[in-house]
Amino acid sequence: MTDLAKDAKPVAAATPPGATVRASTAAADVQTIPVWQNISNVLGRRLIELLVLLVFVSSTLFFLLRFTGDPAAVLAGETGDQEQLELIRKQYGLDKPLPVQYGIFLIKMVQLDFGKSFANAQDALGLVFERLPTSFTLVLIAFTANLCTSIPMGAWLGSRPDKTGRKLASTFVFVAQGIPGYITGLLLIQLFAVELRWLPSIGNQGPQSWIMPAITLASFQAPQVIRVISANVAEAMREDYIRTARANGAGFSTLLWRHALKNAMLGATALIGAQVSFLLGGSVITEVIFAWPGLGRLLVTSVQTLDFPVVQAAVFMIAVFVYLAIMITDFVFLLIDPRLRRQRA
Amino acid sequence: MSSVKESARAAASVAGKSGDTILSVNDIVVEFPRGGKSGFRAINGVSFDLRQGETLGLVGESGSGKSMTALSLLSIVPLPGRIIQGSISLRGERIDNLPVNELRKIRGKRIGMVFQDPMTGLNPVRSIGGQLTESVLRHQNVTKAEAEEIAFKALDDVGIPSARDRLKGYPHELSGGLRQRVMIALALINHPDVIIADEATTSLDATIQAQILDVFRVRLSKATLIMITHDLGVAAEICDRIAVMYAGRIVELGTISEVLTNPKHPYTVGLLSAVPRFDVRRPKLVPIPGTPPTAEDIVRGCPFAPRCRHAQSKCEERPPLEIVDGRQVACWFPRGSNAA
Amino acid sequence: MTSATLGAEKRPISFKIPSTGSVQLNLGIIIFSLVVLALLSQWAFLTPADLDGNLAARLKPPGFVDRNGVTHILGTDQLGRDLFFRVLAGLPWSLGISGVAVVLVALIGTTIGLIGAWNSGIVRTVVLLGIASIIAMPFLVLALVVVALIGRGFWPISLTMGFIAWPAIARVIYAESRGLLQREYVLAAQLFGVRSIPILLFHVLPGLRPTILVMAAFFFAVLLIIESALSFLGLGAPLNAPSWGNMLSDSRQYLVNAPWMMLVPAAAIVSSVISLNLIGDGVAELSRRRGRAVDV
Repeated sequence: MTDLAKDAKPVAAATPPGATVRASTAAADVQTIPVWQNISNVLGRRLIELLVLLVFVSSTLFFLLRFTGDPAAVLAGETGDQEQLELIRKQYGLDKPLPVQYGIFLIKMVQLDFGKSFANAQDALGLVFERLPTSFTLVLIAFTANLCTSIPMGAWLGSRPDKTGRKLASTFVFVAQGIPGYITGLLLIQLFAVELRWLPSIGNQGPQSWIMPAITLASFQAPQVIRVISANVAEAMREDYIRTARANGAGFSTLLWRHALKNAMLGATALIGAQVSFLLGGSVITEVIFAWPGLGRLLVTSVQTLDFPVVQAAVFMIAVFVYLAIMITDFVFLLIDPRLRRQRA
Repeated sequence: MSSVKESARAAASVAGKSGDTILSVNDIVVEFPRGGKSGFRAINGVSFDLRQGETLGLVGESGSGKSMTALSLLSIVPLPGRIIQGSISLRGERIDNLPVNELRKIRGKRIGMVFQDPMTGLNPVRSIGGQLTESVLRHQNVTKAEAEEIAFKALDDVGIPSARDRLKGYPHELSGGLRQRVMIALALINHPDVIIADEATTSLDATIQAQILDVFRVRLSKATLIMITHDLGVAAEICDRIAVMYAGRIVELGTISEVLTNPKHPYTVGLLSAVPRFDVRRPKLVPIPGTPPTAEDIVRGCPFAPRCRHAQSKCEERPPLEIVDGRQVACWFPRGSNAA
Repeated sequence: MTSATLGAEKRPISFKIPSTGSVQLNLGIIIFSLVVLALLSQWAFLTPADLDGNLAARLKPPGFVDRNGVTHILGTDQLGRDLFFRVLAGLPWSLGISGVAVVLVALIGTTIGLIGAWNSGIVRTVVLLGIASIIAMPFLVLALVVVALIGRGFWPISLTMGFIAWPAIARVIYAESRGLLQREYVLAAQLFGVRSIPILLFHVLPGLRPTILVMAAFFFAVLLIIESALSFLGLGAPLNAPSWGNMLSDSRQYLVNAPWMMLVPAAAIVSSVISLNLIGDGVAELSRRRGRAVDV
């Protein structure tokens, strides 16, 4: 047998050490897409989506209202006779042909003119704006509370999912996921307002009365977020880069908080972006439970009384609100994720 | 053979074998518990010494315990695996039984490790500079600015062009070869006593592989290195000694020329007959019959015996690693001296 | 591991209930079966008289025995109606409405998801735009508004929910089938000249089965919650119908005196939702496990 050690040598020796360095850089020199272009692409797409949503929702309402019954009869209420109906038709343009009515409706929507409330003749959008801050604050508090508990909790559960205590906690989260928010709300009222009498059960009576609605609203989605983040963290902790960091002396907390969590969060982008939408949906029912003077309760009341200008304005506002939140999330994640920020082909 | 290597080897032989041993691994066993049954031993009694400035190759097929040996040196064997026996000493101090916070001072500081897959081995959402300085700040008493300078030098040292800009960059902006250079820089950045390269070139293209091997050969010529590979060509190229592993044990350990030209263990013989050669006309490659024992098999005696043509009844006892013709062989019937 | 179990694992995906091998799935099926069994039992035992109120026995706690010697296991409500019977009678409302809706959601979602995945260009753009924009709107808000217009009742609610909730499923189906359409066997079928609809039905759809099952189980739970929410807001089932949401809504005024009025329907909703989530988790777990064996 000849010396294998020797015949391997010439292969590598043929490549001079200095020359090797340059060759491998070529792959990295790809054109960089500027940050702003990425952002404007994403935000532009979102604006188109919002437009589609607004046209879709308001058109659905417009046609459903006209095909399921006589809107004039709704307006006149139970007392309206034939003469009154005619008057109302004329007043609201309901006597015109349908396409014309639709055209006028769309033009008015662009002008943000949703008409006056049937109930009290106030400007519909004005009514909505009046209620907006309350709901906004509630959603904001619940959103913060949700993420501030879900992220650490998810990280804790996902970092060592096999430990007994965490298995128990995971089971608890699973069960909590099965409890609808409105039941949580009722249970909270039962416990803290009825039995213990610590907190006011309904209405906005100062800071104390914020606690239960905020917890209720946060509880709608928190278990879901915890589960997703914990699954993502568990997956990230098995990645090769965690082993690399460990081999370089990183401790457990560094591995979890500095290496795994960011990757886990970026995997939950869609869920976090959708939180505001879920929370607004939840706020409708939360505000009813706690008799809270917000946008959600206004929507329910006006739906129950068939006050359509207000319904239209409220739905419009909710859609805009949701898309604002989605665009902010998009923007934040564009800034956080280096792969999106400086994308190379 | 590069002259650098030659002089290093000459120096090693002058210093003598028992001279400056840096890392000493003594009969370690890594076991993975299996509910009820006796645990699976991924490593079953591995011993070797690593001397100052030498490059030791760990070769063997996948599953033979090469990587597990590397991970056990840093005590980062994946759970539920555990080192249940043996000792590891670094410059004479035991490091296998240290508490975790002491171990962390060794990982990345006194033993550096380069992993196989550079595509997944770096955190995709943290900057390269951030990942390098994290290690520097942990192990060296320097300011942030100094750490960045150290990181820059480390990248520059392993041949990364425009290293200063790369510090702000992210792994996905680099090619596989450059990422592997970053991994090497990360392993070297705290000037460790020992560097372990675990299949560091395996997942790279052939040309990039040659470049990375150059990094090892030229820039790490004086380093004390454990090179884990299943590629005998790579081992032949840069190692001074090699240890051939089979089923969690070292079956043969000796200088590269001794082992490759004059193998003593039947497994090594078989391994070399299965390597394609261009200089010698050979009718065909000779495969080793059978497969290595799996985690399910319970191995008594010599693990290679079921596949060995020369196996006899004595092979049902476990052969110790003994010195035969100046190298260590774990075989009751080593192949005859056909060196002459 | 014996060769028999190995063989079983390599079988293509099929969901034989008796040998699921997933604790979650088994548990979920058991609880859900109990709920459905209770549903069936009402036809055997329940008479219209059981649902009648007895004003002499209003707001009585669980275990109350009235003058006729009848035990009200779960107590009575504000009109003296037996809560146990009322929860049973609510099953076809709550589970029925969401059951119809979930079938509709799965059908529409799968169809639209497949259409988006198969076509390219303008059709795909429209499908994706539609999905993305509708999904953003809070589901409850949409359902609330539409139900208010088309009226209450079993069919209006189930159809409304079915026609609104599909985008979430369509999006997942779209992504999955994009992946499946790139598989070699689909390409091979195309090369053999198989037309689009058979390819989608016989080559892509079977691969989507676990996903559809998992999504359907989760959506069943979600729709059950939404249905109860609508009823709770007074915009779901007719006001006198024994839907669980209606019962919860009634209970709000009696939280102080008769908390069981809230706890009984709440328990029914929660146990149904949890059992459905368990089934969804179990199926997902199973398909993950088998997915590794058969590379789906």
